[in-house]
Amino acid sequence: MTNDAQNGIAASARRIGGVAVLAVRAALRTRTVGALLALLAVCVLVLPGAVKGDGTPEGELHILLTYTLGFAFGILCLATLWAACALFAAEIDSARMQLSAVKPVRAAEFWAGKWLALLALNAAALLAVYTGVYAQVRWRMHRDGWETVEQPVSRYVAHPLLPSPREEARETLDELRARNELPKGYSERTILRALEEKAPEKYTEIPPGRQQAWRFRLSRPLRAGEAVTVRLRFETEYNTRAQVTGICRLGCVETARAVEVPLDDFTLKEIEFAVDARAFGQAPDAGLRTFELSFEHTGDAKHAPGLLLRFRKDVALLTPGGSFWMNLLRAAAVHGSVLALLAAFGLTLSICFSLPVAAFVATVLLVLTMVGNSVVQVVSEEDAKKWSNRAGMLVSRTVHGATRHALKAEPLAALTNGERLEADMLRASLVWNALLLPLLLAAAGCAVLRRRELADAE
Amino acid sequence: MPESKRQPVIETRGLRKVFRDFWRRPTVEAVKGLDLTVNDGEVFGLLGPNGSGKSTTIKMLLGLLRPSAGVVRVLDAAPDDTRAKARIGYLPEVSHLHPFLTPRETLMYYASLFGMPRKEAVRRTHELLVMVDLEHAADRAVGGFSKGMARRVGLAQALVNAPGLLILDEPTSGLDPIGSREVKDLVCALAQGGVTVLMTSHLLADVEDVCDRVAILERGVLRAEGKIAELLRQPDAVRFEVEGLDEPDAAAVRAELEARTGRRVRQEYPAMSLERYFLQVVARDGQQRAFAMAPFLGAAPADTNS
Amino acid sequence: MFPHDGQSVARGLALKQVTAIARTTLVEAIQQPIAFLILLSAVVTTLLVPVFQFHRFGEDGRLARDSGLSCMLVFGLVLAAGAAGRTVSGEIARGTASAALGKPVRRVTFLLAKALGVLAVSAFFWLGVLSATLLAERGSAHFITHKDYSGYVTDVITLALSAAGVAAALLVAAARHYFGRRRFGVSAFVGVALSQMLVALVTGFYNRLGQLYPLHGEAACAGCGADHAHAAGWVFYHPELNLRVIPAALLVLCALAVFTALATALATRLSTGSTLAVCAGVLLLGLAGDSLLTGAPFWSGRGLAAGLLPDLQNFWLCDAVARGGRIAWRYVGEAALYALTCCAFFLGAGCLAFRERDLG
Repeated sequence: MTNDAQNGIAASARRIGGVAVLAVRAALRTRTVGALLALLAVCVLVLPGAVKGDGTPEGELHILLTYTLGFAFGILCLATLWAACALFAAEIDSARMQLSAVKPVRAAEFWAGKWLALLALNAAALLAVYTGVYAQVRWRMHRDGWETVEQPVSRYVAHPLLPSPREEARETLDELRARNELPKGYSERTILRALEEKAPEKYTEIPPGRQQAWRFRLSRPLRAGEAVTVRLRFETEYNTRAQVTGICRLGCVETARAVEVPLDDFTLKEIEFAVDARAFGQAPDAGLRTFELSFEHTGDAKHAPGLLLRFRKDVALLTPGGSFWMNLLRAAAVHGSVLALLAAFGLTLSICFSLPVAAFVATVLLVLTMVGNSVVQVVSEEDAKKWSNRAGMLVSRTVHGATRHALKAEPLAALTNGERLEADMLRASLVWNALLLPLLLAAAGCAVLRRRELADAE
Repeated sequence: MPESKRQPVIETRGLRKVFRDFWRRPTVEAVKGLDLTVNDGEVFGLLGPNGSGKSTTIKMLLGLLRPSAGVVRVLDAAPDDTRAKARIGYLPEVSHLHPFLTPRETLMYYASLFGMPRKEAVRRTHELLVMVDLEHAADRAVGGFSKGMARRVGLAQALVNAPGLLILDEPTSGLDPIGSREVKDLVCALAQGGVTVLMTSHLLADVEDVCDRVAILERGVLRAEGKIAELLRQPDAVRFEVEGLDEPDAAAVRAELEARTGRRVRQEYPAMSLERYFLQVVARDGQQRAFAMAPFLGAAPADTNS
Repeated sequence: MFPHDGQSVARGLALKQVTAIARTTLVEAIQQPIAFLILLSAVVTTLLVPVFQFHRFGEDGRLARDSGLSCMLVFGLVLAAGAAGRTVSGEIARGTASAALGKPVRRVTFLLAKALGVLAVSAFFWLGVLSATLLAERGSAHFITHKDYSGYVTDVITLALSAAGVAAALLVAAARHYFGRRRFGVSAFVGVALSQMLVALVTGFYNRLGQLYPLHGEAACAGCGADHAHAAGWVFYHPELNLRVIPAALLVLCALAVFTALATALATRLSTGSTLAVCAGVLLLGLAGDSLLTGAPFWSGRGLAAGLLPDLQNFWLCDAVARGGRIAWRYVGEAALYALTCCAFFLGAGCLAFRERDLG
């Protein structure tokens, strides 16, 4: 690289840094940021005490992780979005941008400086919130004896090896076609899409006397001294669920040894039990990796109800996967990436509109995203076909399609379930939310900024 | 430098600006086919009543507004070219400073926008604070400043990059006579150092004091342009000024002149301008400081890109 | 001159000042594009609820009504707090407050007039959203028993008319802007609110099945849910609107008045953003006050908060309108008195804060 280019990069970095420092100073010297910090402090310190749990350590931990982090994240989302909407718009409205715009700064440098400032502020806020939550978890573990609770851990999750939702949808479609039972009035493409969308949510019944088996391949081999946890979640008939009994067999394919665990309490909707790796005998060099789990419903055929399970979601093997603290950090990274996306979104709107209009549009689109993603998941094809719902479905599907990659990771659910946030999920979240989509938004914002007149008729 | 050898720093040809409403219908034609040339090292005054298009023209030169028609070249580049912007200093009519920043932070911020290394930015900031006499208030938020003090910060930020072209929109607006005098001295000092200055003002005396050439705009149309001396010269009148002439001698001279020319000769006792009197009475310190800063300003590089 | 003459002149002058400042505040507030956007969002959201029927539990009307009232409260809060913040703190920042107070206007008069102006904006917004709520409830699916048809009927005509009203208001505003150079935001704000009121009046000319009056009583009433005094005889005009919503909506208006007073008081010292944030916090605490704050001793932190914060549950009685329920007018009167007390308290505090405020 030539000296000129190096100097150019250094000068550009200084310009971006200057813009970022100005934005950080502006944020720190307004009362709004003080109010925001106070609100976050209330969320972290007061909310866990104010919300009543079910008295169990699991319930308390659930509140601490879900409510506290959820509220704090929600507040940060709105604050980031609105602050981003203010950054360009307020500067343009107050004509301060005129002084900066006549300096040799590129539109992209302005955008990047402001975005980095928001990123830095959010990183500091997230770090404070997550540290506060972690400190509370440690303190409650110490004070209330939560050591027995399994959730403040991080575990790899292995789901059964099943055909992909698309393959399953295609198989089902072929079967329906062969039986001439395809629903009337829908194209095959629509049916295929509906089947694919519903596949992860599809319940399968295990009636009394029936046995169901699944095969698993762990992403990381089980080591000696570690335990593998079996987790079954299910739905069953409320009044007669006490009649359900069953036997779980967990076998290791490599060592051909299995462990049998009788189950007789199906009153809660979830069962977890751990099996020590030593129970599967001497592990080969490659470690224990392939397992087979079977469940046999041994309840009385006359009185016991069947169990309803979503195989892709409700059946899982959990193995140790790092520390809870690291998992918290991963969750913070996912949340940070979403905030980075919101900041980018707000900044670009801020270039296009005045502050109130930008904030309004941003909020409406945020609500639309949340509603749209929920609608797509809950609406049946029958409802979606109604004339009055078509426009709503079109909007919802568009929003869902545009944001599903960005919002795929669910860090709070993972934390609450003690599941390790997968690296590919984390990577996808960072790449989509903190890189690709902001780049796209930055390109759009810079194009508008370059063309926009920054003064008006006086 | 001979007039013909000077390079044009600002050039506009057929420059027009039409403001439009939401429906793209024209509302105001602020500038109507302006042809203007400002040469290197010149102090050029853009005059005109309110709404004559001075500020609009300046904003088009700076790339803040887009021309509806015509060509603009500033420092041999398009107005939004960052290489040209690196050599321009701009003081708007209202300073538009960030109220929560101190003067020091303000200057450091604008220095960073020029990509200036931190050490150099600190040095330059210090020099400028001394120059505009704001060292004592360097760490107070600008939001609490009087209009005059804010104007000084504005002026300092316009000089942060040691510009080759300085564009000043109503530079003396909001300043007291001392500040006003200092700005005019500063403009003269910069011009001596080779900086090209384009300024607008309502105060014709200010323009007359510092500008080499002026253009007069009215409703977006260029009404007159040229050197001040040429524009103001009255070719059929001659004025003599003599010090210490007593009344009888003066009467004799007047009678002689009337006899020779056959025209009536007017006799006056010129008074000092109020500005000069005010500066003498009130602002001795100010004058001294204004003179003291001239050498520093003369040392400012004329055409540097930090 | 009698001494009371001077007093009455001063009182007349103060009244004129209040009217002038309040009118300016009203016009300035609805000139902002955001005011129109908020009204449009509230009206459109309210009207969309009966259109998108993803679930039907026979309570579509209730869902539409509750959504309408929620929109009224939430969007109204944003509008009131935003307008108060902008008009008070904005004017202080821009220096226009100093210009007004440079005239013989007392600070108390200025602040009260500002609050009245913002309240007028809220009241206009309220009228528009109330009309939309009544229309949305009428338009949503109702089970009717009629000689021509029995079953769920969605009043498509009413919903279409409401949507057309919004579209027409926007078109008229655009035309006024194009031809008369009138401000789009003002025309659109007033137009959208008026259009909904107008459509609400027009719905009295036809029944849920779209049959135009005059019709005989039995045929006319297509399950309006109201008292059936008209069951016999010819009916010429019968707006099948659930007017029992009006007292519930009046209570929401009381809440908006409280927020207007609070926001006006806060805006004397805080920026618009901070005013909005505090108002949102008061809304949450006010609604959750029953569960979070009650039962604590008065001199504890929670007790003081419970005593000082307005109990917004008093103004949220949507459930009382469900299944034919009514809200007694006496209750509405008492709630209005409570709201008035809260307003007086907040505005009093605001006047104190404003009296000490430097405007330079």
